[in-house]
Amino acid sequence: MRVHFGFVLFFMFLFLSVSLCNGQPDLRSKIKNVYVLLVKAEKEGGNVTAAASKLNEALQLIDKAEKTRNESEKSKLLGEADSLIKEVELSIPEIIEKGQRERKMYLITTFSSLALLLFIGFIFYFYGPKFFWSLWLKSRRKWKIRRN
Amino acid sequence: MIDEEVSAVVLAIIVVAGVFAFSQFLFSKRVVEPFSELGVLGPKKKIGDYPKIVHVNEPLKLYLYIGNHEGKIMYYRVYVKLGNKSTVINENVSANAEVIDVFEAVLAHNQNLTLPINILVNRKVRDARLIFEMWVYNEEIKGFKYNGRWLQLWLNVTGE
Repeated sequence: MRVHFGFVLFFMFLFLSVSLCNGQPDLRSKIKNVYVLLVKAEKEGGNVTAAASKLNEALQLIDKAEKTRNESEKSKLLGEADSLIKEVELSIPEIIEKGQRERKMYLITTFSSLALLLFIGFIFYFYGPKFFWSLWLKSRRKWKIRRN
Repeated sequence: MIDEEVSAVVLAIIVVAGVFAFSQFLFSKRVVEPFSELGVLGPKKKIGDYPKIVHVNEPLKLYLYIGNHEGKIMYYRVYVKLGNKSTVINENVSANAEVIDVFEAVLAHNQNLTLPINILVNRKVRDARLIFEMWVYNEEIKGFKYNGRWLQLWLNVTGE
């Protein structure tokens, strides 16, 4: 029984040390998940430029952490990267909502301007000649016709 | 008086021009030819002055340039591989060579990145090819896929 308990303790220690030392693969997979969510957010019309910059910053921090030998520096860099990833993840619903709103506004503006253009076209087509000739007559009101 | 036929022709021209202008406005945001950029700049952050001879384990200072014009957000991975004269690489086949470094970047449409990099080669090689390959993350296969962009630097890696 004691041997079993020792084994369990040993494996728990092994698991904990592996997950603490190799935080990077976990963070990289988090970045992949957040990236997939950003792709979806962009398809919904969201502007993902700022979020992409933050993810990129997180990637560079992870890269820097992987290359440093100073453990405290490494954990600090990984912590910063993690908070950036979380920040991006939390901002996704807002990006989607804003994107959908902007897309709706774009559609409304586009089709109302098209409708307005058509309306102006019809008005010109039906009333344009009448208006033109009335102006033409008005401008020549004082003209006198003289027989040669 | 304006002839009725003339006014009909003028109206037709106006309608066609209007439809063309409106379609241009509608599709102005569409990316016609999507592409990604991959470049390597020399130690002075310019094209040129690339080192030809380096020592084993001596940092080879370069700049990696990645640009996204795909019309959507992209997750790039650039593999730095050490090949030789016989290493096969083209737009469809990635090099089957030793990976000596990896760089990743997430870029939105029209964003680019110039990253300072230090490459270390840990053995002597003559006529080595330092190959840079661009891979992109594919959500469907949940992994990175070679996108056919690559470039190379010829090097001689000499002893310390």
